[in-house]
Amino acid sequence: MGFGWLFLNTALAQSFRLRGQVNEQVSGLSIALVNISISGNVSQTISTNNEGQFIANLPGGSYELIFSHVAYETFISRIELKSDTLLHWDLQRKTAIDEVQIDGVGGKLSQSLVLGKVQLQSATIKNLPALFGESDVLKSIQLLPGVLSGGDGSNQFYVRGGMSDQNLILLDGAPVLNASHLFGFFSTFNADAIQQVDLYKGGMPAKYGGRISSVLDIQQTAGNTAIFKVEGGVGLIASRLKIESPIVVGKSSFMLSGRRTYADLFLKFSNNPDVNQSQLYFYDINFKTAWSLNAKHHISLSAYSGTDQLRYSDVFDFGWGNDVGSINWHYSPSTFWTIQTSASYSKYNYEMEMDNVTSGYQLAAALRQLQIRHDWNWNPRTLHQLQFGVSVGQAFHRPASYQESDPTRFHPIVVPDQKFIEWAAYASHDWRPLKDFTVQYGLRATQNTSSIILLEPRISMQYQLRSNQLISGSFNKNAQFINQLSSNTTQLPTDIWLLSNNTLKPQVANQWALGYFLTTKNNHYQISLETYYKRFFHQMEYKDGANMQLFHAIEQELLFGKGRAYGLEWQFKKNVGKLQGWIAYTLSRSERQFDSINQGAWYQARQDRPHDVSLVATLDLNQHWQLSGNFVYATGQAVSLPTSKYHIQGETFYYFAKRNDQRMPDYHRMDVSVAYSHQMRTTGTSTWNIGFFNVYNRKNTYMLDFRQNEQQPLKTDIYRIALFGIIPSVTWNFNF
Amino acid sequence: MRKLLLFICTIFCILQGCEDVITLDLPADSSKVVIVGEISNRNKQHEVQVFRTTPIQSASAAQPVSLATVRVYDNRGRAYDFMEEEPGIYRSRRFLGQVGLAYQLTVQIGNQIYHATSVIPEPVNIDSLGISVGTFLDRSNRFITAKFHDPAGKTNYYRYLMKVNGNDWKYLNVYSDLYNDGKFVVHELLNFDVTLNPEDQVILQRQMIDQATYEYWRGYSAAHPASASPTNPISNLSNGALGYFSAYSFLEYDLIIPY
Repeated sequence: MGFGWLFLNTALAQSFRLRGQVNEQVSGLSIALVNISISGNVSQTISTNNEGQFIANLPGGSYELIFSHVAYETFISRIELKSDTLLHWDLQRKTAIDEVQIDGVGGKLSQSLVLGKVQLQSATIKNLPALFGESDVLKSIQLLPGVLSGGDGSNQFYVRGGMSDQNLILLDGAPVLNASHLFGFFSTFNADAIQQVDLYKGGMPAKYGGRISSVLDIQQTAGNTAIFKVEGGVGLIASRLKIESPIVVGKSSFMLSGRRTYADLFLKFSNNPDVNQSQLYFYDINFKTAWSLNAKHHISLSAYSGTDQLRYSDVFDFGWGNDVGSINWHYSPSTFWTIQTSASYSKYNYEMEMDNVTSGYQLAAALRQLQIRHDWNWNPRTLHQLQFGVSVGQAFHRPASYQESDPTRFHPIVVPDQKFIEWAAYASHDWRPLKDFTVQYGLRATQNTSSIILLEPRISMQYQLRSNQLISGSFNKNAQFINQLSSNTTQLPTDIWLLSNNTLKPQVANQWALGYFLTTKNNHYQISLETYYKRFFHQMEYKDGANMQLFHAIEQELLFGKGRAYGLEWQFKKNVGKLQGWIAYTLSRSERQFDSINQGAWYQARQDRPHDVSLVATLDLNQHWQLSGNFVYATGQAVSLPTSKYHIQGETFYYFAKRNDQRMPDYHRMDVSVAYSHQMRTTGTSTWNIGFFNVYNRKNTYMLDFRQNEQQPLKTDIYRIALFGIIPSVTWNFNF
Repeated sequence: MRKLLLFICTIFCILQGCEDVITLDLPADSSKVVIVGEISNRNKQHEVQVFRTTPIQSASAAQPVSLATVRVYDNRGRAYDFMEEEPGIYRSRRFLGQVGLAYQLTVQIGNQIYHATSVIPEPVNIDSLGISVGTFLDRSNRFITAKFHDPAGKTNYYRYLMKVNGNDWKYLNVYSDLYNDGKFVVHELLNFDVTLNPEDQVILQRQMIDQATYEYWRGYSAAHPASASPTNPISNLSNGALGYFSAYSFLEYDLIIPY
């Protein structure tokens, strides 16, 4: 107590020098004339020089810095000043509509209020309590309105009634085909390497395509162009380390980050030699480098590689992983034009080896996607802005094929490779015909080898009611050529991929949305209300009793139908101050209609969870202590459960009268964490984070299992299988 | 996949108890007719069971369907009436099933008629039987392996049952030769529900069944709680009845578990 008080007093009395470097996020180019309003013990406003640098002399303490610039998204940063400090910030370029607004009337609305779009900063994600203390991008976005969770042990998420394979997940522009580690307990995104996450639930700009329900655009940090930095963490099940450094100060930089779990350690607790000698781990490597060649040319290169390994005794050996890479060349021939050319590569594959006592087999599959894109942006800083571009890509799929260890005893099952070439072209016009009215409309045309040309119109309109209120409406159509089929209610690495072909039509969805946004005058509170209606076409489901082992004929096991979804999303958000967070409530339905399921009646989709509530809060007690917590509640998932049974030759058969007409018990959970940060050496911070996942030890249902009672074989017991009770975690994070 | 799911759950169950029995309020739907009919080539007694499904919460025995008209025709035009010997159990002792012959079952309950057809496949001999020990997680068990030559050029479906020390027949598994047609095949008859001990007397019955019976039992064996679609096995009976009609050939093997 005494020491803290003493420290605080000294800190207040002493003045430190804060030096900052402000760069553009994608290109890494420094930005001049950024206004920085600093508030805390003292308040002042300064701006960056031509090299994007600024200097302020301030008494020690905590400060809030608001970065603003006509062409960039306003960014708020909170810092603790305890010594002379050099910090680095990256700002994101504004989307077209916002730029027009600013040029016109200087609207006060926060720039993130674009219909259907939500943004999460890496810092927000890291502040949230997490399972085993491992911050998780995909778990964090499930706390947003309109995004439903796949449940414990799954990082599947469902956006506005869509399936999880209908989300386009991009890492620096390259699609990530399977974003889960350890069967979905963790996502492939290491929060250290992530700068920012944009989620489009609707109103996707015309440049995005390929999935029908959402776009999750994840940007890696390109590293610090000013100083060398190290950041890392040691947790109960994983450790992380990130280094970032300028290559040429102010011009180029790199970031390299790695993470490895040691979940195998838990297995050592088992007395069973087969279990305690098993392997269970994953690792991730993230890399990005950005180069400003001169004022006009910027190049960045981004890569990710992650692998999971699971081995059980000598019975099975199972490995899977993603490799993702992209290169991006950003060229600004004049102040009005920017031209981006990029190429990306994505690969997901798995290999499984099973050994039974006298036989064994190998199972392997791979999916690859290559894409080249060329995007033009004309922004004359008037009432108009144009964006257009083309992309061409190839998808290649080697479906799961069996290979027996003893070829004399089995015919190898070779399923022919599938591939297609796909192209897309789009154009989009942002226009502000009236002072308070903006419209962004565009068209995307796309086709793959076997489809007709699909036209995807997109339109989004915004009307500013007052300086702090906005109403917005949008329509968009999206098509999808790559499908993923889960043979289980939980996602497994072996889920089947299917590429659209002559018989398998591309999935299509239409979405209408309407929104209202309100920001209080001081920008402290935001309220948003959005509603949507969505139609799905060419949806797939498995038949009753489908044989999911028939890799070569899986299409015979499928049914085709349509879907509809509608909902209302409400969010109240507090952006600034010691207490920050949000309350989100989503009321929604998602339904499907298949001629041969439930006699052709509309029925609830698996992801139909009418009520979904998230409460997220972080509280900064002082410069050392931070508390955070979240609470989630959701209606249980729709499931098919047997309602009657019969016995044949002593075996119990369960009869399912209808599909998805029952529900799992409701899901709810609360997580809390407390973080203690203190200064380490001169510029570093050390943070201890203690967290409790599922603090009131709710046994949320992972599966329901119907079993014969051992004493009375005619009686059926319903077992609720839960994955997690309360899970404490301790993580030590550091940076210097 | 089942093994994988079990493994995932086990990892986390090491940390904490993770399953408990709960009660769910499930709707009681109208019961459905179940028909299980079997005709074989080595036994003159054939049986057709007719009963109704019971609600999932019920712990009472199935409700038999009495006074049904049960008849089997072969494709040479002969008809055999099955007599109700016990409530819901209809038997005939008048004929021996013939390999290659198609049989049609007709069951009439009130004014509802149910049909199914099945052909008796050729029997296939097992060349040798062995005993192995299988281990998975904390469970380990002896099991029988059957080695034989699968007849090439046609699809064969196998079903295994086992009788230990004179107890009831126990279903083991079904197999198809989809991936090993014409090969030398080993079937590993691993079943963790039955424990085999040294000196146990075992009768192994191997049936050659038709595709419909195979699909019914495959559906049963593949069912697991996390399946993406309901695991109702597909029946060969018409008019929405559950169950199956199987005409099969079989061979039986006696063995004593060594060591």
